[in-house]
Amino acid sequence: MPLAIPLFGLGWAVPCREQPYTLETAEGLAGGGNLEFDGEVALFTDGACLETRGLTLRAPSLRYDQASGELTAQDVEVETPRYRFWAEEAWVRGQTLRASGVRATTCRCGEDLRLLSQSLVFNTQTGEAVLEESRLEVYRLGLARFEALTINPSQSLGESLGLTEAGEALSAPFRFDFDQGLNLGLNGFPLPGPRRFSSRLTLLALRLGSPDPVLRLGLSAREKQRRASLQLDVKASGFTSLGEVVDGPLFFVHDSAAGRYAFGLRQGYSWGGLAFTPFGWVAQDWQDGTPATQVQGLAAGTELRYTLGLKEGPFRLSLEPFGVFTLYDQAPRYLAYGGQVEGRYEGAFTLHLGYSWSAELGLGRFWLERRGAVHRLFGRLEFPGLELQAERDFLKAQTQGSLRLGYQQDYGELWMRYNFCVECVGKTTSNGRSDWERRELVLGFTPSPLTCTHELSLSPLLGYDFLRQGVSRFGLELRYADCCFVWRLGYQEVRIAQHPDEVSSGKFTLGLEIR
Amino acid sequence: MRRALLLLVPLALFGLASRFAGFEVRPRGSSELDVSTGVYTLPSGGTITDNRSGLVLEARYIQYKEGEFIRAQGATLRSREGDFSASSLEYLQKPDTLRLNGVRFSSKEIRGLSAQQGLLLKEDVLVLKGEVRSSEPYLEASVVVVDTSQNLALVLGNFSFRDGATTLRGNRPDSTLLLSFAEGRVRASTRVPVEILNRLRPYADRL
Repeated sequence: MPLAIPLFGLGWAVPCREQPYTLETAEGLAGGGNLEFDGEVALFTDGACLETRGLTLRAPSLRYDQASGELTAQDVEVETPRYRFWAEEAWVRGQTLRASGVRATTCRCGEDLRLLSQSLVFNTQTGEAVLEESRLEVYRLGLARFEALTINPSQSLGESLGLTEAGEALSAPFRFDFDQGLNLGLNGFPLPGPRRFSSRLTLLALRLGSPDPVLRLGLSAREKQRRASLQLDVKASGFTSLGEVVDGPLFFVHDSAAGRYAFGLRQGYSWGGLAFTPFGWVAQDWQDGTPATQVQGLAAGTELRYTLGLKEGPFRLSLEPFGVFTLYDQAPRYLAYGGQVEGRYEGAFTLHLGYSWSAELGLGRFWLERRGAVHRLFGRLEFPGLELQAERDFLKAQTQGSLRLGYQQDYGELWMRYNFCVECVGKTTSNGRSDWERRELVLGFTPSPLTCTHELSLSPLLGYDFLRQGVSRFGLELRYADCCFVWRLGYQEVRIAQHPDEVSSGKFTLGLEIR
Repeated sequence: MRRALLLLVPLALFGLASRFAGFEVRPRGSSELDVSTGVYTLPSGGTITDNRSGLVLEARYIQYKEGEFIRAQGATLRSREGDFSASSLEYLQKPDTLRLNGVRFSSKEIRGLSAQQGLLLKEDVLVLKGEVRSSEPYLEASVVVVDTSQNLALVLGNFSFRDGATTLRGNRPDSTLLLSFAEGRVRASTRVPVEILNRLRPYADRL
């Protein structure tokens, strides 16, 4: 097998259609260094290949039966834009490639991350492959078994395995950081199902060393239209739980710390730009977060939302009015209405301006139907190397935004960002914590994405708070790319919290991306 | 690929060419004899018919010398197998060769076969060279050497052959493809035995 690696590299050097002899068939383009044809069967040898939409297949020899239209080969290598496959034997007929004794990897070299499968069915038109009875191995260590794993060409392996959402990096399922105490344990550790990693386990010790340590247990599972999650926090003072079960339009959600429970249904319908969502639930809520304001009862209503989009050259305009009407069994009706209008110009520069407004009539009893009043103007201006965004909240009478300047080079981007919040002192944010003024300058460097193997990059940042006259934050992330993964190790410390969501603390992060 | 067998059809026609030993001439207009050389010239062309084979040569201009040669321009050869035309043609009785320029051939089985040059030799070898093409079946090649005595056809250089939904291509200037016909089947191989290659390739150089 070690011999296969250099041969592999050499073999792929010549595209199939540039092979000395090629045969265009309904199944794709077959080629090779030599051809024998006996009137019924064509046999390509000396670097045989088959090129169809979505894959390129290589084998020492390739047999094409003209009458049946079937291509067969042994010791096959298959290349797709994201994957490399090897198979002991493969058959191509029509739009389907079947293979047995399959190995697959996304690695650019080697096979430290691989899938082993008894058989594979590959649709050459869609590029979708189903691996039957497969095993996932990392560094030759078996991690999971799947009955039928579907690999989609438009998705990363992380998405196909159910480990990440689209565009997301794979985060390490472990936690080890310090934030009011030491936090460590499994965080969303993936558990395999028959077709993918469909559930996750959390077992965390939080705030160890502080007066209020927490043991967190959690389990979540997700299928196409169904998802369920439960999280239990055990403290010295008692326990709290957070959960959600959704099955199509039916759902049950609860958050014991906020006194929120609801069981109901919600079903969306749409006609063109009009979305219509009737709903109904029985619920409990603590309206200001304390048991003193607990309300319970039934609610039924509907939400109407209309989206209008216009596009003319580089200009776009969107308008989205909405209304939510709710009836209660023990309270007056509630109506929320409003809308948002956004204009966008995308040319030599990007200008985005928007206005959002909504109002309420009556009191929304439960958090599910409640829509807060909004009155704000927002915008963003982007030039190459410059980005300015700002938002004026008329209800809070505050303005916040940021200005970012970047200097892009081949090796990465040097950037600075100035974050500001004017007239923000004491204004309550959505999570109930008070905001404060901000004048922060952050300097950083973002290296270009790692493209080579065994490559290293460093990404530092440093922030300064002009109001409180001190370093607000600093951090450093180290990235290392091997054949299969990009490893991320970072440390970030917030010394002067800039936002109610932040606390002064240091945090180690460990991340992993599948290449 | 089975249709590659049709490549032998025009050769069967050319095989008749060597029978122009005793023929009948009908001038279209005057016939001039150069008594010093024995060469006849038909400036307005005419028809030469081989009564034994039924082969008919029609041309706009003909020169011939009995027992030695026939030269023709704007020539058409008609036979039961199909019609063949050439912008110019030269038949030499010794050695028994037919040399052609601007070759075109059509029959029921094969349509629009053309080549810049053609050469038919006594030993039943036909060489087609330069933009060898046929439209039905679809063929494009640089050089084709056909040996009817052995039921072989050697394709040299870049080629493309389409049969139904499949198209076979040789993508290199040094591509070789040997077609052999036996028991109603055609075999194709890009591995040409050295003795066959050494025997047939030199014919291509004679054009």
